[in-house]
Order: sequence, then structure tokens, then C-alpha cells
Amino acid sequence: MPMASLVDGDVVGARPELDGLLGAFLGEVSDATGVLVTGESGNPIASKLAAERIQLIAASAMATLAAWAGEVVAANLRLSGMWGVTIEGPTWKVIVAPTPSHAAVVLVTLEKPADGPRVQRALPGLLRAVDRSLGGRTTQ
Amino acid sequence: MAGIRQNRVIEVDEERSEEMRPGKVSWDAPLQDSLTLFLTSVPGVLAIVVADRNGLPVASAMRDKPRADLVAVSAMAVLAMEAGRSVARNLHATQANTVTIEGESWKVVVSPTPSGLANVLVMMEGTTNLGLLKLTLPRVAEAIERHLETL
Repeated sequence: MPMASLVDGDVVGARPELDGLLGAFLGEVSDATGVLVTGESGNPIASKLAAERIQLIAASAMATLAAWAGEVVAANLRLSGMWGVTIEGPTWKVIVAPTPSHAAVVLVTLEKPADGPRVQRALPGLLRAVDRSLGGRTTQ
Repeated sequence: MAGIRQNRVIEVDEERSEEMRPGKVSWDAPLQDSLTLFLTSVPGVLAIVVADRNGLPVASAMRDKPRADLVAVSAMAVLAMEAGRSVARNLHATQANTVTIEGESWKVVVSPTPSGLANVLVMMEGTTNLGLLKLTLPRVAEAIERHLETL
């Protein structure tokens, strides 16, 4: 299945510079099989995922919902500092994490067994870079 | 013959006294006991909640007094699980087993029971042995399902 690129001008808010960030992340984290950036509205704004366009849109909306529901769970339990939601299947893992400013949500697909520490080292940098790319609203 | 019968009576008495011994609980024990057993078997686990398909809590066990609105927590956790399943359906062929909400020093794991009759929410410290949790969680999920089927 070909890599779907949503940065083709017909997606509202699409930012070509995000494509470079996603490519660099995939180069750094060899276990990552794909990465997707979702905007505030839940629409995909950049993608390096092998999936059909309609599936990307659905996955993007559901990833945003999962991240939001995770934050509500944490808030209700009075737990601070939720950094992400991990969805696991028998042979795969998907990490969904909001950027520091909550301007976007990043979804990373991984093959199991993934090098967890490497992903956790690389992901915060990607989240900050995505925030910067979306208008410099990042926090340290 | 009488000696054999007497030995059997002693064995049965021993089995009964095993069952009656306080603190010894098996996964076949009533639902609340199974949850308490799970809570004490996995170090670092703070709470376990069973939620039905609609996200409503049906049973729970906690180390401390509940500090949260369990209805809101279980409803949103089940929503996170459903959203996670939908992400999986759209990106992969296989089904999602668990959704873990992670913070710097805590984790909340949500996992459906084998038939999807209910969802199990486990709240834990970040240092919890995830390997032990993943070994134990399917057993408690099966036990929960057995109990719920009898209701």
C-alpha cells in the first residue's frame, strides 16, 4: 500500500514543513512504521502512514478522541502530566500524544517489540517541533 | 475399609479448612474478592474498576478511599478504549487488547474482558511491574466475565 500524503493542498491547514519532521522522526526511530499529525479539529494535517485516505481521516479523529478521553480520565483522578495514550494489539502498538500546546495530536505506529526508551526519547522532540511548526506556541 | 474412609474424612476436613482459612482467595471467589486478590497480587496497583459496555462502573476495589468520581472515570476510560479500538480498526487488521493512559508517575490501563462484556480499568503507579500486570490481567478479566455471566 502506498504511503498516503495528505500534504497536497486539499487538506485545511496542511503544512508541508511537517512532512520533513515526520520523515526525520521515522529515520531516527527505526521501529516506527508510520506517523500522523492531527490538527485541533481532529483532521489529519500531515502523514507518513501506509493507509487509505478515508482510514487516515477516521484514525485521526479517533486518535484525537482517545487523547481527549485520556486527559479527562487523568483530570478526574486528579493525576497531572498525562503525556499520551498507548493502544496495544498482539503485534503492534500505537502511541497517541498531544503536543505541549495541545495545538495538535501526534500518532505513531510501532511494530512490537518496539524500543520503548528510544521512542520516548525521540517523541517529546517531535511534539515540540510540531508545535513550533504550527505557530511557535510550544512550551518547554 | 473404615481406615480408608476415616482418611478421606480427614482429607475432606483439610480441604474445607483450606477453603475456610481467612485471606486465601482464588480467582473463582466472588467478584469483589477477585478484585481484592488482584489488588494485592500486583504491587503498585492503586485501584481496579470493572465497567460495563456503557462505561458504567459495576464493581471496584481500591487501596485508599476513592478520591474521584468513578462514573466519570469509567465512562471516559471506556470511551478511550473504544476510540483506541477504532484507531486500530482503521490502521490494522487485528484488534486492540489494551489502552494505556500514561503520565510521568502513573498509568491507567483499560482492557476489555475476553467477550467484551465489560472493561477492566487498572490504576497504578508508574513503577508497577507491567510484565506481572500483563500476566495477571487476563486471569482477572476471565474471572470478572464468569462472575458477570452469572448475574
